[in-house]
Amino acid sequence: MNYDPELIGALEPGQFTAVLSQALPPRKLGRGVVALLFALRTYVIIAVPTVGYAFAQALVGHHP
Amino acid sequence: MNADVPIDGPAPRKGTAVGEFMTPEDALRARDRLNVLRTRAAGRGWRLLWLLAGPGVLVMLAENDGPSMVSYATTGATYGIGFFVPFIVFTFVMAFAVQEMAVRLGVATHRGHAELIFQRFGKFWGYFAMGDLVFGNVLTQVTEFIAIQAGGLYFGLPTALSVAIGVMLVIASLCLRRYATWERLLMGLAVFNLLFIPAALYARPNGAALAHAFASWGPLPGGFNGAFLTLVLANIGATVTPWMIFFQQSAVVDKGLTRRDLPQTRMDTAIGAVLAAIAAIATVVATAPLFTAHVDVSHFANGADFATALRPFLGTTGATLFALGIIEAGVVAAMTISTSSSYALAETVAARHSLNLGFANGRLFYAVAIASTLAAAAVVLIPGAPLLAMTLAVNVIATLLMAPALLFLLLLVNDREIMGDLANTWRGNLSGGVIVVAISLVGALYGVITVFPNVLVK
Repeated sequence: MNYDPELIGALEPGQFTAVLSQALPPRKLGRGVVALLFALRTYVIIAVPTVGYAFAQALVGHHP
Repeated sequence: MNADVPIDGPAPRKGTAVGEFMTPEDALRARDRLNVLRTRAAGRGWRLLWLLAGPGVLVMLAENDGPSMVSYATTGATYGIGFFVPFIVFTFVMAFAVQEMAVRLGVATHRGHAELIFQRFGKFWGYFAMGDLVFGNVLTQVTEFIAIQAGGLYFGLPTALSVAIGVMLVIASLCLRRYATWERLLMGLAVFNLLFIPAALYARPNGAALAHAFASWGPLPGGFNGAFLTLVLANIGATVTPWMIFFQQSAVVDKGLTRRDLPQTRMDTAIGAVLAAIAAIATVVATAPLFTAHVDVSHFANGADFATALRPFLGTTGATLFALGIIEAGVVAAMTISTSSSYALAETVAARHSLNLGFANGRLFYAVAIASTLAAAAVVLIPGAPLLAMTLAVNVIATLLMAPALLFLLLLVNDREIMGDLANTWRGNLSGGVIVVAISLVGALYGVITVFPNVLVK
């Protein structure tokens, strides 16, 4: 498909779908980031059941 | 230039050279960019700001959604004009700081937030971020349809009709299949969030009391107690939420904004924050007469209850404006939040994601928005559905999961490989870090208080 060159030039190279369909490489994680992500996993392990408990409690307390 | 640019083209394949061809959504975005480039070259500053504005104004006004306006109304009815007026401004300053980082990520990488988490931190965090966002968004959409049906009930509309109109508006906006048109339509609708301003004027606000509140951060009737803390946390939760980060970054990318547009994009976000803060404060002012008259609002479940209670104080016109504002809040939020889900899910599974897509190329993208909207609407229509339980769950999920969202935001905005010179400076990290830590702690505290309400009850 031929497009107007001016139109093609209006987008930066990194904005084309063809470029964006290629994934970025994974980030190399330093010790600090690894520690943060470990803390985050712990937080998530606590938070997810808490959310479930909140929802279940709300349902139990609900009287239609 | 050829005015009739073809908009049909093949789907992109990996390894295709840039410029060899454009996808239809690339072509539509390029048209918008060409307009921007010509306007910038002509030195038309205001026109340029108008063209580049959108994601910031939308995200801020959309976050003034149904539950948020109820939070502000409860605040006004419980504390009147005092501490919470300047506090609301403070929360929007925090929201601006957070959203500005999302904007920088978007213009630097041209990729959405969910996409970046998935690609830079791996599948676990990618699926986790997307999953909790979409789940929370669907529940939030339920609360938006509660606002729509409550506003409809104020005007005597049956629940089914109000909800059906809401669903049709969301689906109709998606049928535009053009980001620029979708954005302008929503901006037009979001202006009605400012209906709370004339509603506040009907309350005949005391200018001196407002000035005193800003100057002294007071008065604070009742002092520091559990109810006060809960409203502080609710007001923060009404201003800074995970979906805002994901939505604005994706919208910035879909609009095609670049590094050169950063000043105008920041201005767009700032204007949105100012408008949203004014609407939020107007809601507090409009409901302040309920505080003066000692009306008990603890049993109020939605915005329509406030509109009905305000009729003796604001008059029929003022109360009607308030109810219309509640409906607008629900409709605009339902539209933006459903799109936020679409962007996040499609980005995570590497499907095409743009409001410039046709239905054929964007099946998954549009299906997510439509399916989540239909599911949320259906829940509201179920007789005896646990709507209050849903609202509670939404609050808890949004606040508890704010910490991971903000942490990833900070990690990404410090990733120099993808951010280049737009990475956070030490000043940005200091201010951003303080805000992120404060919001995360406050969010976690709010979650705990909501789940275990007896913690603060003496």
